Amino acid sequence: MIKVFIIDDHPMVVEGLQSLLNRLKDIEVSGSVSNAFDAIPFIEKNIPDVILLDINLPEISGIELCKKIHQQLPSVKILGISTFSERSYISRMIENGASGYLIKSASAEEIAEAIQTVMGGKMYLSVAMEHMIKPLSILPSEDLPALTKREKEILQLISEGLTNNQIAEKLFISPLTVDSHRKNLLTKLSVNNTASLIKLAVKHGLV
Amino acid sequence: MFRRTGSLLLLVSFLLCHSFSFAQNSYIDSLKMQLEKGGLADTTKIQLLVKIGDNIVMNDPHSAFEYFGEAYTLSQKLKNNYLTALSLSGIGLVYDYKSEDDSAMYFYQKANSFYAIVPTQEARESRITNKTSMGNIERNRNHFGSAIRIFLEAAAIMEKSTADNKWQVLGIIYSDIATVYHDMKQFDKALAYDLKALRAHQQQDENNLFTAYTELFVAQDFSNLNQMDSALRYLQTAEKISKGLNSTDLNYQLYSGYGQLFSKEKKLNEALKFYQKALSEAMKGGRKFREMDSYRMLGFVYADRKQFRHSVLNLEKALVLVREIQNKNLEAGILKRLAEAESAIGNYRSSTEHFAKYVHLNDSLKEQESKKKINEIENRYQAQKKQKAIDGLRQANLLQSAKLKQKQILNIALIGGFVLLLIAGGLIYNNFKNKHRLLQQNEELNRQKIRELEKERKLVAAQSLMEGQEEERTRLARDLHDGVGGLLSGVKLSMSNMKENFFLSQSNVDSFNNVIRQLDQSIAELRRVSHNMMPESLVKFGLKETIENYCERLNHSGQIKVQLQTYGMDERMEQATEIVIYRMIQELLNNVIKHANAKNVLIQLVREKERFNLTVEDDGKGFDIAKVENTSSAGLNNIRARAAYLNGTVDIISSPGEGTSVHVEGDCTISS
Repeated sequence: MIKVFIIDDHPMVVEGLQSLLNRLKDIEVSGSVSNAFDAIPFIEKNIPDVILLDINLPEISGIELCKKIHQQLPSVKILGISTFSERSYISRMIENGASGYLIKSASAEEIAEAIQTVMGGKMYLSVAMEHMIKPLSILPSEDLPALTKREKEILQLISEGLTNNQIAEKLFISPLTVDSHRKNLLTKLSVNNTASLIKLAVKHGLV
Repeated sequence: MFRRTGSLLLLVSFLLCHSFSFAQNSYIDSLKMQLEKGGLADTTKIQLLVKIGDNIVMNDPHSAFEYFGEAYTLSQKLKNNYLTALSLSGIGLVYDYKSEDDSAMYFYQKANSFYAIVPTQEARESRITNKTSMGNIERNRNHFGSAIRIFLEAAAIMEKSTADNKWQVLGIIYSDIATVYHDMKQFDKALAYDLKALRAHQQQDENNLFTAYTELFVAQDFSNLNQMDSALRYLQTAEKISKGLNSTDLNYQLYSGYGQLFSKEKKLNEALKFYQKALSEAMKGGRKFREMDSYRMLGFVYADRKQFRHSVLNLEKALVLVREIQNKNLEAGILKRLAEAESAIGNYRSSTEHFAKYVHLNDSLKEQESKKKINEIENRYQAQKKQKAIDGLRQANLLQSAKLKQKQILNIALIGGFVLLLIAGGLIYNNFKNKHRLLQQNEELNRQKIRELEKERKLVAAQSLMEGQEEERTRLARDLHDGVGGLLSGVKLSMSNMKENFFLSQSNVDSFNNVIRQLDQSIAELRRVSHNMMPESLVKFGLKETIENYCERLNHSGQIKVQLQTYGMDERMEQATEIVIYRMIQELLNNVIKHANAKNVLIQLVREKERFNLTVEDDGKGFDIAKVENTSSAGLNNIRARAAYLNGTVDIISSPGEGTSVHVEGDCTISS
């Protein structure tokens, strides 16, 4: 029998989960609490196999509690549960030692599968959530960061030897803005001065 | 009346010439011959010329003038001061005899100044002679004070002298002073000086001519003082001296003196006898004046003796002579007495004639006298007037200069005052202007401050409004998320349980599943609304992560390819700032998705210390900036408002077909 412990501040959710889990074979709900403070003593007395841990708990969040439980009882598998699938939460839960993540609206089959998976020592994530633990797709993949239109213009003008003020006049923007663009360029291309910037720009055919 | 017609010196010197060279004319001729012979030294020639002049001046002043003139010219050539003075004195003497007192005085004074610079005994004596001449002129002009002063000066010089004839000369000068007092009718003083003169002459020589003459003068003074005994005594002393001298002139003077004395004592017979003696002496000497005077006095005495025919005869003779020597005063006196005598003998016609002549002459004399006096007075008055005028002018001048000075001072004061006033005015005006400008500046500053404060107040209001809004959203989002979301999740779980526990027909199962699906949709919608309202992660995990999640989700939705670049965003900002920036990104991405029809969107967020800049750039259809800015779209206005909240600016580059690039930069240290 797999002993499952539920930590959630929504009694309706707890109740729903309990009735849902009780129907499953080899699974028993060993207990449930509604906050982090009550959770630790309970767990220490009756160590469960799997803990369904709500991320949004009052006062001490599920993420922090996850870390604490994992430190004290590394053998206990923790499955994060949440109303919504949030990349921030999921990644943090996993970071803090959680073995999987479920959304509360998941079906009974999904929940059973998740418990079985983590008990098998694997990590469980629903198909819809799998991308959330992958690297961000939005970040630039190439070596060279993308330059904005303004940055390209200004880089061109810098390479032509114009000063901030001249560039500002030409582009009808404030010299301060030109300067922030210039600094952006230096930062983005990881160079220290304008000369290096131009050199790099020439090397990569940006100008 | 024999004396006091001139200086005793002249009288005596003439008398001396006369006495010791018996033939005066022959003496003068011998002098002239000496001159004509020639071969004389210049100085000798000049002295000869002066000597001739001196001797002829009494009877021929005109010729004398020529001699003196020649002497003057020659002595000027020699530059001999003594001879020059001698010649000038001679010219003065000529004018003196012609009774031209002013001219005489002028030459005497000139001579005096030349004598004064010659330090010889000779010159000193001549100077004294010259001075006595000057004194006599002053006496003639009735300038008695001045005359006495000149004589006293002469006496002072002579008293210091060691000359042989010192006492003689002093005696002459004292006699002159006595003559002045005699003219002033101060007979006692005249007597005193005559006695002084007498003592001086007696010291020189007891029995000389000067002593004799002076005895006569003293006698006359006593006679004038009505001391007849004393007068007679001095006449007798003079008579004694005269006997040893055998001088016709002295004898004449002596007899005249006796005549005068007896006539005064009414001893007419005695008087007559002496006047006849005097007449014979006068005729011996050939002197017209003395002859005339003798006839005149005889005429008067005969008239007093009532012998009017004798009187008329003598007076007629005197009249002829007096007319020759042109003495009007004496003529008048003679005419009067003649008329009286003729009237007494019944010769009325000639008496009337003579009386008429007398009246006429007397009148003209009086007229002359009064004219003279008037002239004198007039001169004195004119001089006074001139002095007064000069004084007046001087005073006026002083007054004028004082006035001018006053005026100048006043002018200076006025100008100074004016300048000061101008300066003060300028300063005041400047001060006022400065104050005004300062006030204006202050006012402008205050207005600006007020504007800034108003802006700040508005901003604060907007800020609080925004913050309140965001807080409300956060609360609402959480309530939705946790509360409603939790409830719905619970409902879904319960329903899932029900599906297992209850038996349901196929159609019921379908509708039950439909309900669950709708419930899932509700939860998804709730999640979306809640997330839009306030992403939980923004509060809990910060801007960077929230944007990443947001962009990642957007990218996964497949609507658009999103690229995100963040630099310097690891440290969190103020939550309010993060929310503002997040809202801007939300707005910009919404715009891109809704309007741009773009395939790619680049989001770049850079933090550089206190500043941040955000760029959202798409490759969509772009738009005409001018149009959008004019219509001021709600979305763009939101961006601008939020950028303004962060003291930032918005820079949009876009043109149709070229995509859109929005650049926002501002402060990221705004704290609420």
